[in-house]
Amino acid sequence: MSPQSDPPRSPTVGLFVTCLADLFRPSVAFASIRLLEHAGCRVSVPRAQTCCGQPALNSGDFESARGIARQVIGAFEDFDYVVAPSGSCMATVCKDYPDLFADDPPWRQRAEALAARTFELLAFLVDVMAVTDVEARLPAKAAYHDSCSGLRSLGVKEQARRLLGRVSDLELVEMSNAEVCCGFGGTFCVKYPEISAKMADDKIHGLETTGADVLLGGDLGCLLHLAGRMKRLGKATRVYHTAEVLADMADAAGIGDPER
Amino acid sequence: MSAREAVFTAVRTALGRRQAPQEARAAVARRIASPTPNLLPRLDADLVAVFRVKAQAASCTVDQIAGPDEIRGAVGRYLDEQGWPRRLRIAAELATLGWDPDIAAEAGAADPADAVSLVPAFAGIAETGSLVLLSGPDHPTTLNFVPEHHIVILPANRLVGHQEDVWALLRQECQTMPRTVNIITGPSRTADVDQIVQIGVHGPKSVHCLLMGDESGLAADERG
Amino acid sequence: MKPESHAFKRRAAEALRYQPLQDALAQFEDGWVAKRRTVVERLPEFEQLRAQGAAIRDEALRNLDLYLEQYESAVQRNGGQVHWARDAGEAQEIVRRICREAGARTVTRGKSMAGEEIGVTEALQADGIRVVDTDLGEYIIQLAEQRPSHIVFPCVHLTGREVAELFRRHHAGKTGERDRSTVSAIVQEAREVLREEFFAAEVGITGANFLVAETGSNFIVTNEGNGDLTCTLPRVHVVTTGIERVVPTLEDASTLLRLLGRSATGQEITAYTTLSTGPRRSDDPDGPDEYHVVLVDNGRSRMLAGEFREMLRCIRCGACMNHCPVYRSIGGHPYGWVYPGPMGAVLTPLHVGLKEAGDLPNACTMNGHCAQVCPVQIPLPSLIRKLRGRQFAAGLTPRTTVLGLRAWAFTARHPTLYHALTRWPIALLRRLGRRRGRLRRLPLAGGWISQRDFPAPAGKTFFSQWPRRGEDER
Repeated sequence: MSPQSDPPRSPTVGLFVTCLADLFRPSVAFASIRLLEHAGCRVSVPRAQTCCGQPALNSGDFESARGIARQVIGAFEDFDYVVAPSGSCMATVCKDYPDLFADDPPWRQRAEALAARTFELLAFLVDVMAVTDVEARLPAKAAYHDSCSGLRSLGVKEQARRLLGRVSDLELVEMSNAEVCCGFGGTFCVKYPEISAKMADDKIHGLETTGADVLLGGDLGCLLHLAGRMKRLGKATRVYHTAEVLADMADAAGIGDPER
Repeated sequence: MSAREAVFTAVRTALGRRQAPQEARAAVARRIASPTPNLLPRLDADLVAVFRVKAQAASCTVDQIAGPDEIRGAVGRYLDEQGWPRRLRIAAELATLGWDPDIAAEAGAADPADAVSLVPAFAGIAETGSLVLLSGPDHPTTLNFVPEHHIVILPANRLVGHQEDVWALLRQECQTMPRTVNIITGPSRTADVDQIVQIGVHGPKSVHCLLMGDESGLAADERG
Repeated sequence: MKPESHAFKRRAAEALRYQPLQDALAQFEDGWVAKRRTVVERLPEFEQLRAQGAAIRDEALRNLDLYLEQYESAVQRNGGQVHWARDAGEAQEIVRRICREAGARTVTRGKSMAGEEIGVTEALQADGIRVVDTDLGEYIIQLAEQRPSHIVFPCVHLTGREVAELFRRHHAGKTGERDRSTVSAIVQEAREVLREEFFAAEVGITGANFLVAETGSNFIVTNEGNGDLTCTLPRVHVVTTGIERVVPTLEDASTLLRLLGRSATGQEITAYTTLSTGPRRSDDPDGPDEYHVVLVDNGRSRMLAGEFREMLRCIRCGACMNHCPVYRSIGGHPYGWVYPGPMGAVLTPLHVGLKEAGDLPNACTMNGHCAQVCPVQIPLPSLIRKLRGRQFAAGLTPRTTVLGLRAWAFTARHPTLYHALTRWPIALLRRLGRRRGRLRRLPLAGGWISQRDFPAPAGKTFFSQWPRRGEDER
């Protein structure tokens, strides 16, 4: 997606917090708000939100997924844009919600209308709001992990690297396996823990080969899984969500590290 | 109900129909009666150059000769270079080239003891560096697979761009389909052991192409 | 082939610990994946070809009844015989009868996935016929009495040393002691041993990569030349194939062949692309006297009818499994049947049932790499998810999961309740994990904790911090 020539002036943005950010790392949501407001958006966070419904959807419980989807659509459809610090949640809204309502034309229409205005955070900042710079600093060597949904469903790849390239003192390196699945996969990681751990280990090996001391990513599911595995293996690597770094909030403890 | 009826009924039911509608029947008939190429990858205009590069990349060696007079000499040279005896199993239509006494050449279906075969190609495909050989009374298919080494004569004016061009030629030139059309690109190979590519499995261990004449079909001394 | 997909978890655990397999799978990234990438990058029109490939397959499926009729007439016009089989049992009977009538004592086989489905080899062996797999990988598997672990590279899980040992044990009578220390030597030995079989066989059985309705022909695509020797030397040539393999014209096959080579082995074309039409002609010096095509339904018409029709586009290239991180961690054996990897995760449950193969559509992270590389654009993750939907609807999902989901979904649809309820467990987890920033033990979270620490929540939940009612907007 190429940047628009004229970014919208002061659009209303409904922030989709994501259940993982809400429960495990609210700083990701606060960082998102900071970035969006800095870009000139009027950010709201509707309270009538909990989850995008992925766990139900990916377990084959389409009825429950539809129930949650209706709630999300209802809570967010009045905003100019819906944005979340998560490729997987936004891919669910963009790609899966319309299919969920294939047999329900009115809801399908509403789902499609919402999908057209739904974005992953960094894709929104770069492609829609034409953000080209950030005021942030992180003196470290970091590698960015491309979460699968963001990468393949939403085309999020360059946007993260572009903005991270503007963070002062940050050396960004590329893992040879940046695009390979980390093994989280929602319920997969607890249903098939050994395969999941092997996939994490492959990703960690790719990370260590770069010499990076920080791992970044745009999806908390991946990051919790990788951080958890690295701590189990005794690694000292710090793990952050990209939004935290871009919003200059990476002086806090990394994921899985004790509070400072 | 026979198995055939049962399968057709199951397929038609799956497609939501008892009988295919007339428009569908007509459209299918049209598609089959007028076959058209789908997208064709772009190719450089110099087909000979493209062919040479692709064939060689597939480990098929290519030697250029001006015309039929040079076949015997080129084959003899090749056999000597490889250190092979001067003995061939040839397609019957090549018998008139006068092999005696230099080279022992016998026509017919291949024998397991045959080391080298020599056959003319029906066509060549530049896109992939491939040789196209048809089964036929003078050029049995076993010549392409049984002997250890394979030499193929490709007239340059039979070199086409894409595989689709071969189908057009076939339809033009053959009354009916031959039993076998072989599209051969280099020697046999496998990667089944340790994922290492090894040349020379069940088919020939080498393929050598004699590219004959230029694209106009004229030998060097016939060109104006 | 008898399914053993129910043993997925156990086999996957074994596979993760089996170093020779892990070493073989580790080669895929710089091997088959890199080769495909290179050859695809060289073809600027590749993405357009994918779309055309999907369209050709969809057209054939949309009018499958008509194309099968045309195909059958064309085969018969060229002197071939067409046989129809509803299921594996009928297909076995047909092949057995043909071999019996041919007086077959030795049968050679080229690679055929449909043949594996219907159990051709076992059926003929039960009749006392010697069946020899001639594709080198399949031959090795046959000697090892194992199942293939990949549809294109069947013995990828075996090392060269193991192959040498197999040859030593099984060929000793024929070849005596010989050097087996190099790949080249092993392949030469295979060539010599199998040559005898090629010439001895009365019947040769191949699969078909494509069936051409226009001409009544079948395409086979090999690098070894074994398929050609199998379908040229014996008196009788039998093709075992699924009904979905038909394509309208030779030109349509050419488009699909461009996609197949690149996707399967990173080649623009394989060494041998062979089109066979009927038996030998009256003036052919070689070739089979009889040409039989055994068209197998075996559940394909059922797939055609429903939401899994797109799976029938499959051209059996193997690209999906080459790029699947789950397949690349455990290999093909855990999938327990003919088809492993992503295509196996869809096909196996559809053929053998979800009760037997329930793990397959669940052992998937939905990362989408398979769909990205599929040459005919099959939406594999979407089909896998549909299978999960079927499992859920059929009550096959474990009770604890169903209850957990229901509880989650209920609270998720009641945000105020959800926000209120989640404060407490999160606060507790935070307290427990505060010192280290993570938890090493966590009851009820066995699946997670067995392999990972659990990062402690960073503080209060977002919504317990976010101003409420009238202060939603900042």
